[in-house]
Amino acid sequence: MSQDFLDPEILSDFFIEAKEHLETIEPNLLELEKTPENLGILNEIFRPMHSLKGASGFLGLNKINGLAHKAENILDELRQGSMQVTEGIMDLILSATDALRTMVDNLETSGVEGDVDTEPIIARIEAALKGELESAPQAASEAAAAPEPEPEPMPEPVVEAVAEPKAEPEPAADSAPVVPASAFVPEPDPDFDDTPYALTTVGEGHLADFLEEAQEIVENLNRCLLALEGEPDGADELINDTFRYFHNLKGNSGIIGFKELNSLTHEAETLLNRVRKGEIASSQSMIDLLLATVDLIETLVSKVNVEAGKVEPLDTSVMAQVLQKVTEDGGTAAVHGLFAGKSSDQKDVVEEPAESVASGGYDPEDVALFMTTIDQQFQAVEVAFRMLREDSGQKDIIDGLFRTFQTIQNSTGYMGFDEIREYAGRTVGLVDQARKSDMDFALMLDILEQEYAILRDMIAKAVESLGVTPVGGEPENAPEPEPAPEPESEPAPRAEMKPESAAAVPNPVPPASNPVQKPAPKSAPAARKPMTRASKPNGGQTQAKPKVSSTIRVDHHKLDHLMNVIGELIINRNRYAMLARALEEGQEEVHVVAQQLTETTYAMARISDDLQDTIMKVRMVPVQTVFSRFPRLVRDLSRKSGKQVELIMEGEETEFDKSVVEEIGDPLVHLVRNAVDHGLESEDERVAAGKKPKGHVWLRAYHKGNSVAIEVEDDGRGMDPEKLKQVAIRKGVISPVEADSMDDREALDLIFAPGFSSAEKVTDISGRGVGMDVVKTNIKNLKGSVHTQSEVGKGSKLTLTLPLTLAIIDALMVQVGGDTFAIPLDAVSETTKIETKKLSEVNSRKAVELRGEVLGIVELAELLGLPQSMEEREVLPMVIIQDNDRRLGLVVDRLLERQEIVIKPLGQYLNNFNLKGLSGATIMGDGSVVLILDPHEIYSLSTQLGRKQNTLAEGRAALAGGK
Amino acid sequence: MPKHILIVDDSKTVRNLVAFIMKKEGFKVTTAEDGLDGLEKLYSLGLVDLIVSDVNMPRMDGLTFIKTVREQESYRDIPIVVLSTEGQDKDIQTGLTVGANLYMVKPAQPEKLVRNVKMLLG
Repeated sequence: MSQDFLDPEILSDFFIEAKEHLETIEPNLLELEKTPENLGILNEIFRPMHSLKGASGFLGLNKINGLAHKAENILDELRQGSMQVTEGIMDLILSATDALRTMVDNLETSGVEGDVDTEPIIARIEAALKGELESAPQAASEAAAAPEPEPEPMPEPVVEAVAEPKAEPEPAADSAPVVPASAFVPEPDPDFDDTPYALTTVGEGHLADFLEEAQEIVENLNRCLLALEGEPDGADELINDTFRYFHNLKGNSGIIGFKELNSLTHEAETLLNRVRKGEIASSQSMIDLLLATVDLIETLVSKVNVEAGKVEPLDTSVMAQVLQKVTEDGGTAAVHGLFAGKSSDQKDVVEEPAESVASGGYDPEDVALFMTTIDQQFQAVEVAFRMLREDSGQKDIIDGLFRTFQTIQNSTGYMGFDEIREYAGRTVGLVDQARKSDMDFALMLDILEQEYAILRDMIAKAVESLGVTPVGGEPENAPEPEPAPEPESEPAPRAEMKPESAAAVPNPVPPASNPVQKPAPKSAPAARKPMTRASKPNGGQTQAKPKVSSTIRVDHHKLDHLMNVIGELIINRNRYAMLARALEEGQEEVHVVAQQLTETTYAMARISDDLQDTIMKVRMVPVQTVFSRFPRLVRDLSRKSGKQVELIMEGEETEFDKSVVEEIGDPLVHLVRNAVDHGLESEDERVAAGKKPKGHVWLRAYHKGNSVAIEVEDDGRGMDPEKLKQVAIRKGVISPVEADSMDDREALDLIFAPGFSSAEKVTDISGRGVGMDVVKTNIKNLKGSVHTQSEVGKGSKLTLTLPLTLAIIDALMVQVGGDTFAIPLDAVSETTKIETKKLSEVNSRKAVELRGEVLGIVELAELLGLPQSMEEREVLPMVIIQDNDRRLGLVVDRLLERQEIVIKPLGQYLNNFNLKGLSGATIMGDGSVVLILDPHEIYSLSTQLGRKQNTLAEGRAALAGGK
Repeated sequence: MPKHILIVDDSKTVRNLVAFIMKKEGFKVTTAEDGLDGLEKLYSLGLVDLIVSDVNMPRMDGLTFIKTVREQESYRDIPIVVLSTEGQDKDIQTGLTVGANLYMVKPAQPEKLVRNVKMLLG
């Protein structure tokens, strides 16, 4: 199945699932590295890798599947204990998960797995599996010997056409048969067999339908290609159509098991897919090639015999190879002149793989499936007999027996073994009669066992007549072929419909490049070890959704509840309508209606609270999804910098609003990277400072009132405010005068100033400015704030405080200069009223002593550029806001009520003005718009204001002194 | 009347893909995301022609699901295909014992599943 035509929804399901798996794998890998003897973790890694392999295989994502399969193999070896966990192997597995992640990402963004080269990793894994991890060259040569992976993932194994001329190519009809220097010579398939084989058809007329459609497609293809010839470029739609026609024909031929047509159309489709994506330019010679392909398709289609349901095959391998070559080369140069004529009518009669010949009209795929099915039925029958011998009263076993015979009946019918089907039908009838009557089933057992023996014989004979030797009773699960690369010996693409042939013929495809074909549970028994998903200890991880996905997974109880609440809402609405009618009709007393109205409004309040609550819960996801990437990041940083670092994560289960979780990742990466790179000292320095050689970085998440906080802390060298100031002065971020008036806390905040770069090496703070202003902006966008604490020699701690949800907050409404403003309640520590005369002046800033503590005071109107009125009043209503551990008194005109408000963004236009101190707006019950203040910015505005006044005062003083 | 198939799998990828394939084959499809959901769907549908079920699922696993289905007389003959990642002999044996007609090991090729389903439906 081509990934291009997969249902987008299925693919997006896959992305989510794949990322979950990868997110589960990585932290466990890191854990494993620390505790290599912990086999439990290996299971935790193995299972998602196994699932990833499964899902990708299902979707025909061969590259991902191949790599996941290899990774699974090596994990299995580790699990079995036949290999040891070493750093090298960990690196290898990590590189595999990286490649997998890249491919999944590529797939999500561009629809293809991309040109991630998985071959070296696979080769290394193979080498490691052989215990030769260190001998890289050998591994490389092995990989080279194996056929190349294809540039585009294909659902079937395709052997690269080899540049060794062996047989004469088909003589080209009109173009000059000049073989170019690259000497690409496609060869006919030496194993080609022209014995007619049966096509799989479903019901009457299926084959006729197929032919009709095929002819239609051929016509359309010819039309499209000719139109394309007229305008080779700029004809995207034509190319798309052509692609689609080939694709449809491929699908159709696959369904009926028309191998040659399937592989040919597949090649053409692959080529066109690249043309469609603009990777290969369409050209005249390419159109010639495609037209020739269409001709060949037409010939192939004409070989179908509708009456017999069979087809007399043609060897199409030459054309397939040409198409493949063009697809690989990205141009027709190498094959120029080879394809202008119809490729081949040649009959190169060589023995086909035995089973295809012998199946005499049966699709080997069907035979294999049938064998598996029957084998399982036989097993089940025998078990049932045994159990019924012990106790013949077991109804469920009897039902099982009935089903088993019924399955035998149906599947033999499917295979066309009518005689057996009838016989099995009689047995089914027997069991059915017996179970319906009151008789003791024990009486039936002897006769049923005889029936079974007869059926067994009949089936065995029928199978024998097909010429298929059951491989261990389960031919479907053929053992993996040895990677025995002999591409020259068999240049023909194996048709995708008969994977079991892989076991019967020397197949040049190495297991890694095409594991879809080999379920092979026999060869990897451990791969099927029961792993119960539910009992997984850190199952929470898989519950959470990955960062970039735009979908959210919701427990359906929450949805049920939501539905319930909506139901109540509707009832309530009807009640309002009723009350309105009651008022209109005037039959009820107004005060009664008013009473009811109040009740209904209360009910409404309850419902809307409930709704809000539920929807909030729906949006909450654990921060784990973000945190999960850090162990890896820290590990890499640690290895790169040569510092020993231990990352300690706390509170991963803390739930954040989904939008916060999505945005918080990048800022956190910055902070953690800075902590490791610059915060922590080198080992020597640490030892010299009397610290433990291993540095620590903490990543914590916790709830704090109505907001959540994330801390990034390190026990490194800490930041020196003085040095920060000096750097800032040198960079021109602040003036020396400004620096002097800064306290330590403000100095620490300098790391967030734009332009405070670290290009220059400063001993203790180097690099701290990189991207920190971006971090700050990101956090601000999330309506959050950053708080910095640092102690020289002890370490630094950055605390991000974020609102629990971005949509609704509790706020205190205040009136300033005639306008209403909202202050997030989180930031309000208290409200009070003070007498104007109690104000004092400290450092040219107003202050008041409140419970023995000096509190800076500023008039909000002043900060907002509104008319001030503080001087004229006797009593000042004041809101004391808190920005981390700093407090500030804001004088307002009036304190209004506390209210829940819905945050609306200011919009792009207003944002352009870089309005300081405002974080958004909300709409009140009366429809008016109220601006929401940003306490953090209000605080910095006030310090700037103070500084300005300070500078002004100093300037005046200096002037006065100068006079 | 198109045959009605109930697909029970907790992986959305697999569930939707199998549904997609089956629909393409002209089957009528209902999906369920675990055993419990499967039971609910089955009860609300009354009867289906065939069930495809995974084994490892949250809330109610496939084996319990099949066992529960089989406990009811009206469901005792519905063909059930198990589609599971676990494919050891004893897993297969268990699957068949609890009431599956056929045990397929993932990743099964879609067309194989289709054929097997058709095979079971006769």
